[in-house]
Amino acid sequence: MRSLLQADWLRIRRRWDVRIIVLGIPALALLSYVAGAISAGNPQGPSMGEVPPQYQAQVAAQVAALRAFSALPYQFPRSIATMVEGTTTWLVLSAAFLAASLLGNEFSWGTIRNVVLFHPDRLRYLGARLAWLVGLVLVTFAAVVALGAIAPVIVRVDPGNTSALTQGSADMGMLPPGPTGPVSLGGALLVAASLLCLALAGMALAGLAALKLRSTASGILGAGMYVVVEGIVAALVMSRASGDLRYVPQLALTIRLTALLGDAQVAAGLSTGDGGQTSSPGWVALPPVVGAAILTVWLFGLLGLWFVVLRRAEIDE
Amino acid sequence: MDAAIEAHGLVRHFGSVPAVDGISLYVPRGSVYGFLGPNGSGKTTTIRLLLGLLRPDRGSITLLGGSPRDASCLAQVGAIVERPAFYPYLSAHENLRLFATLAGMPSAVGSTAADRALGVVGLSAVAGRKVGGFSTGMKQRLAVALTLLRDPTLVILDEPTNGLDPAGVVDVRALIGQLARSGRTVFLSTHVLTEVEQLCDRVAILQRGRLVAEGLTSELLEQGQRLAIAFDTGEEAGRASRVLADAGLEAEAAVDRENTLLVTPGRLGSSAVNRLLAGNDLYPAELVLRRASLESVFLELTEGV
Repeated sequence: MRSLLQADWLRIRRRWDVRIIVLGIPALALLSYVAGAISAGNPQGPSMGEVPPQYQAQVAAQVAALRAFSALPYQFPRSIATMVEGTTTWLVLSAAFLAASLLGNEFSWGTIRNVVLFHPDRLRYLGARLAWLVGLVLVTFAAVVALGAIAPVIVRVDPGNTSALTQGSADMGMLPPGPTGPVSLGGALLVAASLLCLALAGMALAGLAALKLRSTASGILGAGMYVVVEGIVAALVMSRASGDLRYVPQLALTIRLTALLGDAQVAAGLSTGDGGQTSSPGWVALPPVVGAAILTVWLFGLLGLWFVVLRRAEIDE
Repeated sequence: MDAAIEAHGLVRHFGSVPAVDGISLYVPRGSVYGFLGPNGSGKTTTIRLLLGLLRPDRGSITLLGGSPRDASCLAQVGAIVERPAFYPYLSAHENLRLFATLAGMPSAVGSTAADRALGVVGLSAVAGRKVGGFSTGMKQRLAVALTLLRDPTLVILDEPTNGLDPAGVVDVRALIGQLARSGRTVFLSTHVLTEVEQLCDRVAILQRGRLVAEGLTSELLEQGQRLAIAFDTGEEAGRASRVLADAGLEAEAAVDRENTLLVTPGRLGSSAVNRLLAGNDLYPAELVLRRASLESVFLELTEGV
């Protein structure tokens, strides 16, 4: 196994796509965070000179509430969730691309043939590749989380008078919907962990498609097609099914991932749980433990299929 | 003699098309074995089966006394299968070192083996260049270097001179000669007949997935040799043709020379044919044994099969 890990290191360290993802995603997350923080630090409000004197106190309270509300995502520890959430799409796509690329290229370049001839134990070979992929996703993810933790020190957004949020200003309907309370470190990390699950699922799905379809592009397209088709079918079944059949869409990968993220956000106090897919007609809420168990089966099932596919593959490249 | 490769009744279909149809091979250790066939005859599929890259529908394979999927057997095999395959963003040396690491060689040993293999194929000067920028010929040389990386007992080469310039072809042929002299078994798949004629002591000819001939190269060439019997007159040649036919020998008129018959002497031999003619008062002006080229034997065996 050590030789396989070493060989993979020789392969991976020179790849530009790996470098771009591992360094680029945290940089992108930071850039997005800084842009948001700068915008939040300068909330737009009416000039007091334009406001009639009898309303000035009320408007000042509203502006203070808006300032505190806008600054909330940039306060530690919620900044961690903000940083990770800001780069979710990129992180998931990157994990999927990495898996599809590192597995699919072996087929499109024909190097899988040499690999199998020099190390016939395909399962160990794939095990080493999986270890590197998970490692790369974890390193990228950890860098984003670490940036989220230190970003409030680098880019400070003054929330002003945070008590404005609890003095009834929010009830005046001028604040966008969202949490106004504090978020714990555990809550922020819970949201981050749920997003990591999303990235790992993307990696597992795209990796399987790349192994089965034997190319990077086909792997990414195959995984993308699956997500779209599953979403459409699940929505269709959800809107039509009755009785126990209503539980069937809840087994779908994309439904479970979205539900996991939603549950984590509610638990962390980042969301009230209203809206989104939970408000879809036919939605049935599963206990979080059951949801997590289904997702675990999906993740290990997809990764298990990697090994089945490669073991049975005939190398005609 | 102990076999380096032994295959019995190999069958492999792609869909309903039989790519390999009942092939049996016996490649003695230490031999240079030519595997001939036109494009699409099933040579590469057979090699993939021998190396365990494809599974046969039927039949058995023994490679160096073991299974082709056995790591210890494959560790003694160096192989080029069809086009060379490398990581384009790595240098030639890095590519070889990577595969050495994959084979379990310690870093320093792998690096030395890579240097040595690159030196053998004349790529030392470009060892640090990325393979993505290599010409087809350079990649082919690198593929040969890869086969030598583990100092193999059995070398399987599928069209090793494809894409090489004339100097490269000469180099690779010389290298195959060296490998053979060092006691290694070389299994050479090609459609370049001169390569087989020059290098191989045994040969198998494949056509549409079936073996149409197999044996010592010298025997195969003997099968195709003809006796050219020239006469002074056409009348003599005609009479000789009838005499030979009566004796069960088929004679045909040579297209490249007048009053000349081409006869396959078979078991009789040249002197017996001469005696037969003299016994019938026919005295050839010239009697020459024309050696067959592998090309003519190959075409004869593969055309119309």
